[in-house]
Amino acid sequence: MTPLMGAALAICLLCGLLVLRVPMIVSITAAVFFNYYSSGAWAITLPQTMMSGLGRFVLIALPLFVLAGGLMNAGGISGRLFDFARAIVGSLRGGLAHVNVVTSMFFGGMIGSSTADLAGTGSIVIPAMKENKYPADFSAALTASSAGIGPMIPPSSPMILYSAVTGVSLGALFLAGVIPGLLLGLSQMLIVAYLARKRGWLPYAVFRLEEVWRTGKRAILSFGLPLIIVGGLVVGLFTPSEAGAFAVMYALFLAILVHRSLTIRQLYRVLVNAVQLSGELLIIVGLSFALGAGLTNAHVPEFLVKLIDTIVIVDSDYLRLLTMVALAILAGMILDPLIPVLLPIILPTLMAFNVDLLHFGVLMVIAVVIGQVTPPMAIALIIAGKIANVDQIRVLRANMPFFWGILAFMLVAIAVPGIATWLPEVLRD
Amino acid sequence: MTTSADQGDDLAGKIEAATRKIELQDPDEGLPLLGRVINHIVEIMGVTVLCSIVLVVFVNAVSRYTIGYSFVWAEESVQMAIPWLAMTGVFLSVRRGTMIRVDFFFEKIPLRFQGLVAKLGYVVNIGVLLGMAWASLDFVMQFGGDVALYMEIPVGWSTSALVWGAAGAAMAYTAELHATWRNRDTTGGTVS
Repeated sequence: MTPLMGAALAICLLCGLLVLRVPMIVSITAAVFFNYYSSGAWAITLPQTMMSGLGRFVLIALPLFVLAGGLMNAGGISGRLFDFARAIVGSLRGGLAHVNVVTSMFFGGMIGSSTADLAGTGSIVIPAMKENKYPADFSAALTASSAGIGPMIPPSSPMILYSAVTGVSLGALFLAGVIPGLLLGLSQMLIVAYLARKRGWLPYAVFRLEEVWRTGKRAILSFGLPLIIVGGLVVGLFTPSEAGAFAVMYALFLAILVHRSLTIRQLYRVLVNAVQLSGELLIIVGLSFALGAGLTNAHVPEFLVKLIDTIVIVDSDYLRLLTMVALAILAGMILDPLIPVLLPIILPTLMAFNVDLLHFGVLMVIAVVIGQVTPPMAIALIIAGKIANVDQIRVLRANMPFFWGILAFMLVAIAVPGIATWLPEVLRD
Repeated sequence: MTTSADQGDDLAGKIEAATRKIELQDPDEGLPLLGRVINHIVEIMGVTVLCSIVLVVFVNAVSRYTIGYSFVWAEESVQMAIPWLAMTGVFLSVRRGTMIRVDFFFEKIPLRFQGLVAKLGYVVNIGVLLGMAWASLDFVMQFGGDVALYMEIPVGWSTSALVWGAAGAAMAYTAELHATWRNRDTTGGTVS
């Protein structure tokens, strides 16, 4: 068996086991073992490369950001952020739908996980939207799509994973996500505004400056968290892990001393959740290094370069990038987490094509967001559909305006790298 | 001006309560005492490691900025702790059925075959995790005696987490397979 054939069979084994509901960790491990076996490598290469992957210093930031997000969540920031969003955009036509989007943008800056936003905020906002005469399928679709903004806005778990695998600066990545995240939120608000005018949805609240001031004062301390993280990284004050540790301390200070909303027993529960959530992701990153090393030894990257050169007959960097992004979107429909599994396979190919890894990082996160609302996985649509008690197909149909919106946004982001790279270039020079 | 809701509907309060409930709920509610004790021991290990990481990174950064002193062993100690954090997290995920997996295709399998596929899945999980534990043990036996540069302790203290974690997860799956078999569960239980 040639090494390339062995690698192809290993990838088939990985996909086959995933289809049979075998956990991601076990599926990757089995694929790595098969790949090693077919190429005659020693089995201890697995723990060796895993340890090398786990040794990436930027990875330490992952459990710390997860913990900071959990502390903010348990500390009760969601209500404050919702109130503030209502005061700012609640007076627009379709006010509650706008508030939903803006709350997700705020929430993304604190939690960094879209499912936390979806399960928590969505469980209340979706029924409230239904009560306010919004169609149930639309309410679910909007909540699922707006929750996807979270991973774009720093701190973002997918970006930490990307930084760990590629070595791209986490500070630069966080900055690169800011403008695309805001634009994505804005595009969703434009779609909502169009539908609100067409369907006659009412505003949700009256705009009052004193209400903006009152709710803003209650929420302002929460915005300190993304400020500490991004500011500290941009100024060069902190390493990513130090930014994570300071974020944890700040979140603790808010939850225990300022908001007084967390007991020691509850703090313990938040810590356990952070261990559990980050543990599996860390191991997947470690395993992805082992998988990537095996596939590189089997010359898979060279094969991918040849394959893409065959598919893209015109000599165009844009088309090559488009092909790589299309591959990421397709993989994202099945794989979650996408980045640590796919990236070790395609990273050498990206480097061979001289792709800007910072720009591609943002495109990968958009691919993750698309995967969350695209079947067969469509985890965000499934959760939102269950909350709204609506059939998945109806939610999928109602989500089409947002799906085409994000797809169009992706094409623009590919064609105009400055959307992602401008802010890091300006602020880090 | 007409609005669809008045300001006093306390949606914000309900959202706050819902998010806090999700974050703070006890995942082991209804579990037998032995299961709770096992999970609790591993939880304490994981929480201790996580708190140590936070403290070491934070104190090192503060000391660097305030008194211009860095602990040379800080980075290495945190890197050595990460495998333990990862493996305790994986063990808890296995125990609580929250491992990342794809349910979509499994749900398309006819119900009468789902139990068999789930049991086969358990066997694959156990076999592969035991393989990982064995390879990790081999790795620790060969290189675990190497001494860490600044901590000056054998790196086996760190790498052995892979052995314990993989073997522990395999044991958790074995217990789940046994329980599924005994209860004649046709859907494959809660843990996959």
